[in-house]
Amino acid sequence: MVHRKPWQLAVSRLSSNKGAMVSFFIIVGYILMALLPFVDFVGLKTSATLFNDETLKNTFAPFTLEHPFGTDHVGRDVFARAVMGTQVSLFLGFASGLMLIPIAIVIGAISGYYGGWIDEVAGYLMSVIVAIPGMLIILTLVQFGGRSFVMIAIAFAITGWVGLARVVRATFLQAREYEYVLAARALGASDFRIIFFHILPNVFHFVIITFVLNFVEVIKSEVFLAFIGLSVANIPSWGTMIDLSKQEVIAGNWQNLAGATVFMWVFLAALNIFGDGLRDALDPKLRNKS
Amino acid sequence: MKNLFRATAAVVLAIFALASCAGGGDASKKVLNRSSIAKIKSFDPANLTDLYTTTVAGDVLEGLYEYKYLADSYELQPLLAEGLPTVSADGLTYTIKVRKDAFYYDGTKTIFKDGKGRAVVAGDFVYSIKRLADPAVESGGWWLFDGSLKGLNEWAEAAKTSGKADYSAEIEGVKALDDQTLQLTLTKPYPQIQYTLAMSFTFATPHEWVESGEDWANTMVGAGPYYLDAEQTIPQSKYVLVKNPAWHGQKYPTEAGAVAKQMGIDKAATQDLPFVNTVVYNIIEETNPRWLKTLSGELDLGGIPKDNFKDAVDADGALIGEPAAKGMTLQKVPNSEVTYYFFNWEDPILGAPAGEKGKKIRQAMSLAWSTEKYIEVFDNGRAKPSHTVIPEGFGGYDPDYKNPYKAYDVEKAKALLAEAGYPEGKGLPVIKFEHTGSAALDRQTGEFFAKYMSEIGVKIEDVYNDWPGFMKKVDKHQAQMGGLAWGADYPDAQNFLQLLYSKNAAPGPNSANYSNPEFDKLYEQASVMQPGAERDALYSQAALIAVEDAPWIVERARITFALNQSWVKNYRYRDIGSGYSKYIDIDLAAKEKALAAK
Amino acid sequence: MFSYLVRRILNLIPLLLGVILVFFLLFNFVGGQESFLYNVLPAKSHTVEQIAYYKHKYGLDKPLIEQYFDLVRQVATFDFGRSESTKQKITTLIARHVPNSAILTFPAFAMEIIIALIIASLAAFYRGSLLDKSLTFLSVVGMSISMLVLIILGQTLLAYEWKLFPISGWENGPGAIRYLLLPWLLWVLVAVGYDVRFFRTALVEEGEKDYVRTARAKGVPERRIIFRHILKNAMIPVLTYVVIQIPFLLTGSILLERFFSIPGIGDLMVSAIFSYDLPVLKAVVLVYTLFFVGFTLVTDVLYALVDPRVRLN
Repeated sequence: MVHRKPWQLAVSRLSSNKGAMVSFFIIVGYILMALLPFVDFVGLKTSATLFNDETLKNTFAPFTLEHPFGTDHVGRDVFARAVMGTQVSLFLGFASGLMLIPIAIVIGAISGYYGGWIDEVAGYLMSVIVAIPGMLIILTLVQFGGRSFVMIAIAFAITGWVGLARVVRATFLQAREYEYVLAARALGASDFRIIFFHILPNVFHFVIITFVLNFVEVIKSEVFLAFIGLSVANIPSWGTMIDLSKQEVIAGNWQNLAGATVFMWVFLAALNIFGDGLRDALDPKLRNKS
Repeated sequence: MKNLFRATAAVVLAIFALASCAGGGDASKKVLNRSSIAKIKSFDPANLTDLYTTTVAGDVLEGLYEYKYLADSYELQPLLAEGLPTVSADGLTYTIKVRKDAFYYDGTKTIFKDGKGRAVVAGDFVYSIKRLADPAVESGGWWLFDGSLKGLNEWAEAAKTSGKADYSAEIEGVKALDDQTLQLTLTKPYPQIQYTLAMSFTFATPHEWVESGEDWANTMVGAGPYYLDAEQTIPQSKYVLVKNPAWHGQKYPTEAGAVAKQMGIDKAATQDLPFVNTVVYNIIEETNPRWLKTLSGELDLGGIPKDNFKDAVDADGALIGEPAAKGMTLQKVPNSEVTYYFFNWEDPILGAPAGEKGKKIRQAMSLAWSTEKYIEVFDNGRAKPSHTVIPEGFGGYDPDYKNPYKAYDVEKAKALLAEAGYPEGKGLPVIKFEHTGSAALDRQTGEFFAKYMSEIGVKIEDVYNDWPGFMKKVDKHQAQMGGLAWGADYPDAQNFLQLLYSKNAAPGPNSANYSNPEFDKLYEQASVMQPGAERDALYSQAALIAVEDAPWIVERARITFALNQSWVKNYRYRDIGSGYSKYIDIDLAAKEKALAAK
Repeated sequence: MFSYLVRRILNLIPLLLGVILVFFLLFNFVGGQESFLYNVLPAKSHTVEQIAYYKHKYGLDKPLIEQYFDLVRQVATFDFGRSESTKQKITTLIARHVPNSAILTFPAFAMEIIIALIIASLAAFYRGSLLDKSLTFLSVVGMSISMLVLIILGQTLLAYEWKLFPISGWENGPGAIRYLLLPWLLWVLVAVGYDVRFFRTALVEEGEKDYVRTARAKGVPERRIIFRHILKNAMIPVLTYVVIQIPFLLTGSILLERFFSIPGIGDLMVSAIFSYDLPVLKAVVLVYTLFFVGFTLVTDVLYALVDPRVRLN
């Protein structure tokens, strides 16, 4: 009951932010779009992946109504491929986010709440991870561990949790001295209960923002992985499309670059604007600031 | 604040001033701008294994022999030698005279203070061959000599036991009779050895240089037409070669083959080599900037990237579009290579253990695959289907021969598969296709191959490895099927037939682990014979056995599309050998005119 | 102060040991060492003896714990041996590539910060106006574009079609500047968006503080308020933000270095990954870590000098 009011406030603040709301619907649109190829909606998956003697006659077709972003080097529809690329981005974003957040919360909360040697160990772990270039860990894991969806997501999660864990730790460090925590403890509440029901809600806004902005990082990094040749095989992704396009554009074939860039850009912009809106709505400190 | 602005403005102005004055240069000098698509590695001749480093090194270092620039096929001619080797009647002793007028040149002036150093002697080649055998050198070229020179393996063994190679020890098989005479004595006939004397591994470099310090292999001291200018060179960015004032000299060849005549590069006969004063190798690893620099005229020589092909070359193979408008010249040269998909000969389903059934599956898969279509889609027509393991132009190659299992025929493939006991592929386990990489092309190739196999009901699982991961599986005989390529080391079909010789099974180069005593017998017999029609007949016979057994789906030989600017003269792309920059000329007036016209 | 310094330096030892351990685990258990081995072998033909030989040469046949201490010793003595692919001394390689990366990233970073500060000040000053909104929108546009896309566009259009910049290249000394102009521009375009948003928030937050209101109420001129008070005080979060990013500048920019043929450390790292040059990769990571840790140490010590309370912690 206690927490409902700030949440309502946040939602109403968010819904009055026009940019954030538009972005929110764009993001929902992308999520739906990622699901379409699963059911092969209007032959989307077929035109994104299939090529045969027929399509091979229509390679690098210009932008038309039938092919809004033209066709690629074997005559597949670039628009359909870009739509399908949404899957890879969303999967990587969700999967890495869902792995990273529990790690960050558990390590951050325990080290902040208990302090002492646990905190020392956790702090040490964090500084070790931070001291190694993140991209190198990702490249190594993906290069040597196999370039599957799951491996890439794990790699992003391993390198991405420290920032959030530090915030969680700092909050817990402060909160364990607060009166309501002391009171809960005096009433006999377990550590587990205090951690998850009393203190954790205080950092919840930060968790959500991290989750949203993690998508931005992951999507941009996927492009880089594709450039190195380490992105997921056999499924169209924005990164692979951009990577392919780097040689096609000089010959005037802008299909892959245009398709992937437009899709990626709209999504990233929506995530960034929505992330901002979330922060403004959820972070009481920043209230009334923009 | 004001001061800050003023300072910033000053810095910006200074930057632009610098930007406008840099990049000028003396126009009276002829500079050949080339590019390298990969990083340059060590210049140690014993480890010149990669094409790009060898290309740079070949302009500075020279060997005993080189390939004739204007001949139609690859023929040897003396370079640091005075003539072709004298071979004893039993084919075991090779005597080679070294020319007297070749001197080393040290661009760094460390071992030879005046630059020009001592003469090249026969002992230098004894030294370089010993280095290949020295375990401490870890030479990538040792396999070419392993076991073929008398006493050399024993010498290497002694070095391994004692921990240090004794370069003063005399070896029966590799001897300098005097400063001008080199004598090689073989353990068994090995006619291919003369080609190894044109390869980078035996290039002459003075032992003084190798002993001069631990970083000697970062630069070069050789007897070639150019020296590496360490001052202007920026490692891993550009390598600048300057004309060697002490070079022994050479004239542009007078005899020209039909190809050279047709290209019109036979006009400079008897002129003094080299033509250009400076050769610059720019390291540009990304295709995009390399192609842009070719179009803009910053590079004199270049190639057409696969994806730009349709805009640069029409259906008949003539140059069109921007390169044509700029007057560039195009050469289409089939590479001396074969690409292939191999089946593991030891595989219980596809290999020898499955007997006739396995053979029929292999033949069916070969029939169901369309190399022509692959070349059309992925090579933009820039490849020629191969029909046997022997590449075009090599002894034993038959231009009229058509491999019956390469005639794309789905019905026949289905019939064979049914005969093997898997009608429509029913009951046939999924076949794992191992790829050497995971780049876009590997993925697309995988997809494409699987699509063709699905038409006869064969299911393919594509496995994308990195190169080491792939090799590891091949070495352990665990790769069920995979794709590889082999480029010629020297112009003799033995270099290709050895890929199917049973004693070369992985980790040797026989990745399919193919083993057929009949083939082995023919190979052993033919490979020690001196070149001739009799030998070539045996080569073809061996190749046909491998066609019938189908341990490979023989794929193709790619065609290199080499471009040069309108102002470049005498350029010919050759894919065997190195040191060809000396033949190339630049017409400075034409260059100026062409660049001004834009 | 001295004991603080000693304590901080001693703290580095376990940190470095940890980094080496992570590196060691990555390459031993995820399989890098074996890949490395297969890449060292001659590609065209190799033998079983050669595999054993290289295993022994690189100490891969020793027990794991010994291999770990070999690695520690290499870091301690700063002796990484030679590159397996170019056979050059690794310390020389690194010494040659780091300055090239630095000359790419440091000026680009400085320009990025200056430009971002100017834009952010404008946006903050005209808060809520159309100008503010369009600047904020443009920053989102900028930060949502992939660097690879910008490079392709920049190189094809700006450099080749319109001939505003050289396509790629490198020279030692001041000659490098003309090759760096386009990479700098692209760097700024990609990075400036993040900064603008951060700086704007910092400035807006500072402008809402009570002392600013008081100053305004007292009739202090607006220009004076902005430059003397808001900008000056907002410099603290801005500087912290800047300082945190400095160690990352040393790894250069992999994409820019590759496409513009800049022989920097990012390029070295990618080449090492592509060619499985484990000794080089090892050295690049550990040098980066040393720099990162060293830089953190220096900033902490500087903080301690300024604020004695830190020392007691």
